Amino acid sequence: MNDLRTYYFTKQGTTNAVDGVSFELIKGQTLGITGESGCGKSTLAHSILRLLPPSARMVSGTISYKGLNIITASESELREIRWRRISLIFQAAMNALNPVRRVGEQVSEAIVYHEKTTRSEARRRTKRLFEMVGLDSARMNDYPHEFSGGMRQRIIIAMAIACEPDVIIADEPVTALDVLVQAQILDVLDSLKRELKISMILITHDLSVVRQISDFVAVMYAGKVVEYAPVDQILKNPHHPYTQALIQALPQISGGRHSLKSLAGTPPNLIDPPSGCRFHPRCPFIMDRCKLEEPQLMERATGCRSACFLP
Amino acid sequence: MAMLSDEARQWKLEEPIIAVNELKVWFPVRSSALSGLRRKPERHVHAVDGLNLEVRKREIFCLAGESGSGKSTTGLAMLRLVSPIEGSVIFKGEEILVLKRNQMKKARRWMQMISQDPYASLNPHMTVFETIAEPLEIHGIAKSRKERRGRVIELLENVELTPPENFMNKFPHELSGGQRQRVVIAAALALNPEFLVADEPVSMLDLSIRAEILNLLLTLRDKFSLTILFITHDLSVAYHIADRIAIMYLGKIMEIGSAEDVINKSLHPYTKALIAAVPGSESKEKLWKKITKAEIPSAVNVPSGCRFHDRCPYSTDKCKAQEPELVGSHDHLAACHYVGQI
Repeated sequence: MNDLRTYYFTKQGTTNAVDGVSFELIKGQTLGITGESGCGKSTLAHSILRLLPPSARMVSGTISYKGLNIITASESELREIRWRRISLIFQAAMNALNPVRRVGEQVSEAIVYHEKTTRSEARRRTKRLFEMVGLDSARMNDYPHEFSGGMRQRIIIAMAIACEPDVIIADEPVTALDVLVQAQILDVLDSLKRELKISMILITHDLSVVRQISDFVAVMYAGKVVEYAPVDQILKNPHHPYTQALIQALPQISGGRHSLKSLAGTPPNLIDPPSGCRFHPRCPFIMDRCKLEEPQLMERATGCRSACFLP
Repeated sequence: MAMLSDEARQWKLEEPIIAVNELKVWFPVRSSALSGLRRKPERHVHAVDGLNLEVRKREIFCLAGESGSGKSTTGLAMLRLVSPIEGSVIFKGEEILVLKRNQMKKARRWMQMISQDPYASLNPHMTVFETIAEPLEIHGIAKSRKERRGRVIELLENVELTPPENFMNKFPHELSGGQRQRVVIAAALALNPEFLVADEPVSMLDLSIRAEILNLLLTLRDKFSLTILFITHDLSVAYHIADRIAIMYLGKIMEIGSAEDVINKSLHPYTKALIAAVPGSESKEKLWKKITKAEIPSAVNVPSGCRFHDRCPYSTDKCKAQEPELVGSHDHLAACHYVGQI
């Protein structure tokens, strides 16, 4: 019932920002989507709630949530889904709180708007939400500027879970926060996921954040998923050369110092992506076939799916 | 000026090339225009609050800490880009804080800076050639255009922007983030400096490019015997690039030592918490969970005694009352009353 299956193919203008991405999200699990800037991961997140700018269009594919195709859904169906069923924590959301309104009001407003409850009921629920995300509920009447960045991010998380959604899409939820705050916010997200059985799509450029709270990871490159695997699998035994390169370039604090391997070249221009495998101009294992044919995601013996011609 | 003579350039390895003593940088807080009239006692942000450190020749020294710990201000003060209220900055045996304007201009030749944002630090109206050649002109190093061109080509090769001819006439918007940061580095190297302050030089870059730039800095250090003060909030980056690391907190050093010691044998509870909070750290104990307040206190009202006491899970009355000194052995020091007991 609650198993969300998403298959979709979009094009943004003539920039192929997200180009044939398929995945499914299982209830209670976290899918990490990672990749470098410009790989299409944020576009992907916004497509799921149809929050794309006017220049963007989803040209093909389906996003089905419990049998409803979000791409063809009507505005009223969408309103039902947005926030109540699928909520979004977007990049730098903590700076998006209204500075002249009390934070408690802003959270209860979301509840009143979406669920038509009374104000006092909404306030009671807001109080509980504050406690769940580790905030002092006595501070509901304070204004955003009285909170630090990490606490404002907790308020945003409280808003995101206010209507008890099935799915949270978190787009770079901890970028720009200090490491101690980052650890605590990730911990809040992780415990909410377990307590409320929420599924989560975590979008981040930071592989080490992905590994902290994801069950599965999709690595994107130039608008496509190049590898999809359980998180431990992808870190210990990555299959795709791009994933391998990312992991070798990741400075790690444990396991001794080793030299970082860098990946030559820059990500391709998505208006005119390379032929065949989009990674071929930067790939150390390039074969003739890679320039002509496009590899599909294929199941491997190790349990991952990887889009590469290498065995 | 001895500092500018040839003898001075023959600085011995392993000796401190730059040292700061009891450095204090405070910024006044102006709450309102009227507070001056009301004769309220002036309050200050204690950005750097009594800091001592030495950076040795050819070393990559990392200043790490949370935002607001004063690490960037320290970097700026070491280049005399902000004025400390107290203390000294000794560059190759000479106090730079007392230098006159033209002396300081000469001294700046040997000390340069790489900033965080390669999008903001390049003038969009200047080509790569103009950006890199500008310091050469200002300091009258390469007089003719031909000489400057030769030097710019050499610099672009050093930062691996090859072939240089393809990059010289480009404007910043035509370059990627990694390429821009290379141009920033080339301009910083133009005058053959000995000391570089690199303030979060990779934090805005993507993972694959980050490794490239870190490796480039290591190569350049070896090639030109550079000394680098590397400022970062990311301990895993610090661990990879640094010879020594100092952990800063509210304007003071909490722990200092070799990268191996500070990361793998940390002494201070603050360092331990930071390391445990790094995603992917193998630390089993979730020490950061015990840090009661997630956020760094304001540097206007610095806590009494040990400045970390109000967040420290092991804090005692002694910590509230008495400020700990840096103690330890073999170059590995921590400012905690309970070093070795926690």
